[in-house]
Amino acid sequence: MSRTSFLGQPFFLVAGFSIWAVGFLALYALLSVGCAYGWNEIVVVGSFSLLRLQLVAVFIVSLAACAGVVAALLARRRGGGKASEHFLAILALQASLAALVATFFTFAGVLTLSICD
Amino acid sequence: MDEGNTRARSSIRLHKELSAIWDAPPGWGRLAAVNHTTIGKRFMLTAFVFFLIGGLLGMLIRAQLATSGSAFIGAPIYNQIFTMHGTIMMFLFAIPMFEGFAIYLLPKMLGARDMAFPRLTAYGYWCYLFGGSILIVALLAGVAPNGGWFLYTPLNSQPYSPGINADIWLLGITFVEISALSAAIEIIVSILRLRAPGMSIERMPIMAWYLLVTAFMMLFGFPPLILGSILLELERAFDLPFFDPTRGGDSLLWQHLFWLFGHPEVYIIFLPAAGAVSMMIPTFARHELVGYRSVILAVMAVGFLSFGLWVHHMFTVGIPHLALAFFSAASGLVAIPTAVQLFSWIATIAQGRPRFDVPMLYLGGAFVVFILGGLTGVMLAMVPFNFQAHDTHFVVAHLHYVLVGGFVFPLLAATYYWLPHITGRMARHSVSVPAFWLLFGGFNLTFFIMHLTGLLGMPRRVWTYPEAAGWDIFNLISSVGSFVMAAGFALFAVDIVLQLRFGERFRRNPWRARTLEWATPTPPPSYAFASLPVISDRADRLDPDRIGPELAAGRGYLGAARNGWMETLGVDIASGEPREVVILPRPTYLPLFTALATGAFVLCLLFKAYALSIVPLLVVLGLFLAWTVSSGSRRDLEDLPIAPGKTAPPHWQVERPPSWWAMSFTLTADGVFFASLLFGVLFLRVVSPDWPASQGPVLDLRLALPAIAAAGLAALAGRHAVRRLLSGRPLAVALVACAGAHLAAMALLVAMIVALGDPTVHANRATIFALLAFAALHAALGMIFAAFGLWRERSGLLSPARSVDLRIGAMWHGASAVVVTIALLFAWIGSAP
Repeated sequence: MSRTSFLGQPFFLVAGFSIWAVGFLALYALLSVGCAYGWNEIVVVGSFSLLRLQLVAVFIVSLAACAGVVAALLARRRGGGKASEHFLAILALQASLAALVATFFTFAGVLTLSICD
Repeated sequence: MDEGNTRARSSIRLHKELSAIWDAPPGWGRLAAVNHTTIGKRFMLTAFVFFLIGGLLGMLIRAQLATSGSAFIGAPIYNQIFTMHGTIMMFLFAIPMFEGFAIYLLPKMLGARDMAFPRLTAYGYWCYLFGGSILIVALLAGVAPNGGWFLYTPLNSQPYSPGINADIWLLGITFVEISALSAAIEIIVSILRLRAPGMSIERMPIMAWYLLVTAFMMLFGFPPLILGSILLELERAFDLPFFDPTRGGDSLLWQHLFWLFGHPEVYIIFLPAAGAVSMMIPTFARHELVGYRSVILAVMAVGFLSFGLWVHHMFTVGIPHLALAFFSAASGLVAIPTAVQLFSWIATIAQGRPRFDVPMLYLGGAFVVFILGGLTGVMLAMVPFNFQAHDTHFVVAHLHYVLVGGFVFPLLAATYYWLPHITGRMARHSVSVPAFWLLFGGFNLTFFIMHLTGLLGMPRRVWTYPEAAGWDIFNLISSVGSFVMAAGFALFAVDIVLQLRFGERFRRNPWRARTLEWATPTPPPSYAFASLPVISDRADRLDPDRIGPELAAGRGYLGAARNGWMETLGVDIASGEPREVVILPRPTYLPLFTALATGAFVLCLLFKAYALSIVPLLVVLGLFLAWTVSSGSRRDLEDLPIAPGKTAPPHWQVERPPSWWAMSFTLTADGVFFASLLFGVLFLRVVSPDWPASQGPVLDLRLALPAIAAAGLAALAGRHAVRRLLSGRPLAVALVACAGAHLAAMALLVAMIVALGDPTVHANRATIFALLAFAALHAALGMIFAAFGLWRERSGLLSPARSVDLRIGAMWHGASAVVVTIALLFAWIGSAP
């Protein structure tokens, strides 16, 4: 019996959106903690506060992780395999692309919006 | 002709043999039924009764609000009525109705004979019935919950709601949620593992995808609410100050825990109804669903995004602006995958050759109402508008448009579509069209007007208003509309009764549908399929008229009765290849008795008989263990024939049978519960306005470190026992060591709880108490799992081939070690001076 490759696992259907969910929680938690401890008032570079830098870092890491999943699944898509594996691979790729867009749209506010007001 | 007669004879013989095995006994024996067709119907019927009660309460609300200064029912009763209206509609109607729908139809759509855990199905039903009954009895007794169905604190905390009203909500709803969580786990396992041979994942009916995502959402959405309910009940009963801001608690914690459940809940209700729409439209459009894969993608996206919306119910509580942006963006974004589904339905109709029938009329109504609700939803997702419309009747209008358009109208369409399957009779539809127009007109008259009263500033949840406000005419129109709508529902009910009594009989598939549930005889027998089909195409491209007679004659998999066993097939998750024969439990009173004992436990808590509650709790535990007595085998079996030339082992002899998956998902729910607790602990430490470090107790590391070591030892011993079993060596010592290590961990955790001092002093102590108690509970259950493994081994029910019981135990031991370690880490951080 042939074994399904790692990237062909059903888990990858939710990989992109799981990153979105973890990023969402991380940003909300970091924002709450940062505002509670005044990290938004600690200026690090130019007009960037410590909290802003941390939030942007989480944003970029989330985007990069999502993009990484997309890239990996894109490479996997070129491979053959059974119909169910192909179906799962395409679906996982599309879901990850959707998650990438959702990550940018939901989190992009960290770049410009006021933080703790 | 000869072949036809032979087929008919073999069909009848097989039917009699299978019925003898699968049918519940008559008379009182019906209470022992565990069959999905029976339990599904019970769920739906009970949910409909609760719907009628909730609807009646809605009419009382509208009667009270029809004019200003009305003295119709007065504030105290009004508060109970509007609270119970929301509670009943959400918890006792919508979710159970979807559960019943899934339980009844899912195995038939998947080509299985039953759900994965029939006794759990029955237990869930009894829990639902008893939990719901507690709430209704409270309503009749005048002590129903009265603080709004969100049960916000501090309004529902002990000082402001001193009666048992709020306790009834907390305990009754938690009781019902046991049912919902067990249904979620069962639905997931059934979809992933119990399907017809060849039904690979890309061939599943679209409904299965919808229900799979919905069940996962329940798995992640319900634990936060169960946790919140337990914490609030602990505060009310024992004064542990989780939500009391004067002692380090915070009312907003309740809101977070509630809405972590509450917003996904809207989609938990909507998605199954949308799934039903995606099943019905292809039938009437005579075209397969357009964008099958896009719809799956959209449903998954909705499943995730809907969890990112919970704070949009809390926009006005004073959270940071940037957080408002996250939640506003996610709230707007969720409209896109929702719209993808709508466009798919429209495209299916456009590409097909649609024919009109009554279900399509109701679906048309659903489209209009749901789209309007969706549009106001996007409005409310925008923070500035939300600030203006917050807690006004505009929100009441929006939520009714979404829920009625997204659930009730599709449900009515689904009733007309699938009722012939349940009854074997076709409706004449003589009154269904006027019923629709009364419903549709009455609904819009009632709720469209509420947008206006809301925009004029009328707050929700008020029992009356002054004449000077100028809202009388709008409210009167709303109230008249609600009675028109009620007349529509009455006519709908009459139509259903007419169908049951006078509907034309038919054999199968009256709508010329192309999905598998229509391949069963109608009404369906208890075993659903006399033999299981082989699926070689997508499950919405089948020919039930051809498949049905073939299966009835036993020309599929498992086409014969064997050993009095209730059999269905377990398949590979992705490929749908047969993996094992799943042998299901026979009808039994155990689920009923277990639910009764659970109900007794809940009632003891409700009436504050805490010492006495230990008795039913032990009975529940004993009864659950009694469930396992009849499962498994005392010898290894050869692979069983499942079709000509094909064999498969019984489920207890495979690596990952349904019970293994059930434990995986139970641990997932347990993990979500624990994560919610950790979130609560962190939230209070960061946000609570009163958190002096001096109030924190100091955790004794001399106890904590050995507790972690003991929990780790238990996990290692559990794994060691599995290894010894697989290699055929004695394992009693390992299991005794495992139980002993759990006992030691539990004793140390209890000692830490005792050393903690009074947990009512401050929320810091209360949260540490909760963490330690949760860890101790895991150790206690670990002990039971180890003892259970030992009993199974002594009874000859374990062997290297039959190791699943022990492997399930090992999963718990491992999870328990993780919980103990993290709980103590958080407790230690909280206790640091």
